[in-house]
Amino acid sequence: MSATYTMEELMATAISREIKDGEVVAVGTLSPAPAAGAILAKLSHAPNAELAVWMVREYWPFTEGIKEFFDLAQKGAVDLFFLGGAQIDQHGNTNLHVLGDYYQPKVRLPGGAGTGTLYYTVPRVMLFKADHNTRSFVEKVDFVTGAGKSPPEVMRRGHAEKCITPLCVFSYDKKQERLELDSIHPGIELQQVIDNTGFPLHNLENIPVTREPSPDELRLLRNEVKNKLQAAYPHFVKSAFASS
Amino acid sequence: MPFMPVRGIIGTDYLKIRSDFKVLDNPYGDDQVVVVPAIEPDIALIHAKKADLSGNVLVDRFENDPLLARASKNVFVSCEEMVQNVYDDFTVEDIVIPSIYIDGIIPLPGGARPTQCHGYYDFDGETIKKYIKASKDESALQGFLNEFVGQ
Repeated sequence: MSATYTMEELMATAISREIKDGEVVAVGTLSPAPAAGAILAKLSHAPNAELAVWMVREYWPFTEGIKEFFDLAQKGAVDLFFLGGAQIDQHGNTNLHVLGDYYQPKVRLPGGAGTGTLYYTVPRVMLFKADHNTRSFVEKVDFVTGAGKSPPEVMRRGHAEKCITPLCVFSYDKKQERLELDSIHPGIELQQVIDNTGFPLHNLENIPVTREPSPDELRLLRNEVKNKLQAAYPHFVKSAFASS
Repeated sequence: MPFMPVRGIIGTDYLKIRSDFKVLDNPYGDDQVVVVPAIEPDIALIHAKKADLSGNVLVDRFENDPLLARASKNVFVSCEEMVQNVYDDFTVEDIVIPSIYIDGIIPLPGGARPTQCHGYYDFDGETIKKYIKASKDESALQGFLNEFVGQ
């Protein structure tokens, strides 16, 4: 099949397929691909998923700002959440604070918002990133905003499960405590992933190809999902979806 | 409330830069938890959709303004519209901050620009970009403010 979909559509579909029916799924700020994936899941294979998608009014049940959502996650009632970062490293650490030294930064970033706590309180975490190069996927993040692992005496309900990028999907190997290649997107060469990843990759034999979006998934993304994201992500909506 | 326990954090670099975040043994369990000090702002400035003559204020349910109002010593509000009674205009998208938290109100339509006030206007990305560019330099910033806010 020729590629008749956009990278955003492929990422949204890959994200959607991680969502199980009946789960409580939350999507935070500046997360257009996870928002698209979560809504796609709800409209297709996960009709009983309960969504909380920041800035999408139809799917945001809370009345007390973001606090109510953080409280729900602390309680353990959010099953799945998405975390991004300016940098992500091989151990699943994320950085939303600074590039370079904290006190003499090259770039000061917006900060972590809920990352430092949600990574522990939500049992299933999906990492995602809209770019994939050696500056974004690094051996060690410049600042640990979200910790991929934590000391045993700290309560933690889960860890990163997957990391979805424009080139591939990583999965988190809990035993090795590192990201491993899970699948490579159609049309992308293994060497391209290796060259654009700033940390070593292991077990590179027989890596499957990420499943392409189905015609039904593309139809939903380009119509219902697109409409529902229009108000929250006007710029993303303009370029992310191909015309059907 | 003098401080607040927060899940997580231990294992991140927050503890390297925030000497005011402390790690305690959970007195009710066998784990460790971070506690953070209360934030008690002297002044909160809130831009609301509506306010009424009794001092009640109507904000969007996505905002953390009610929490901010409860935490702050003094709360001043600008608003898009003054109305007789905000409860008459209440919709499912709104939340009311009762007048007991409010110290002052000024009608100021457009007061949240170039950011957003739901139901009134959207983010103005172009102006925000201009601000970011201008903010790198004092005289450019002054030029931006003169153009955007007025003399």
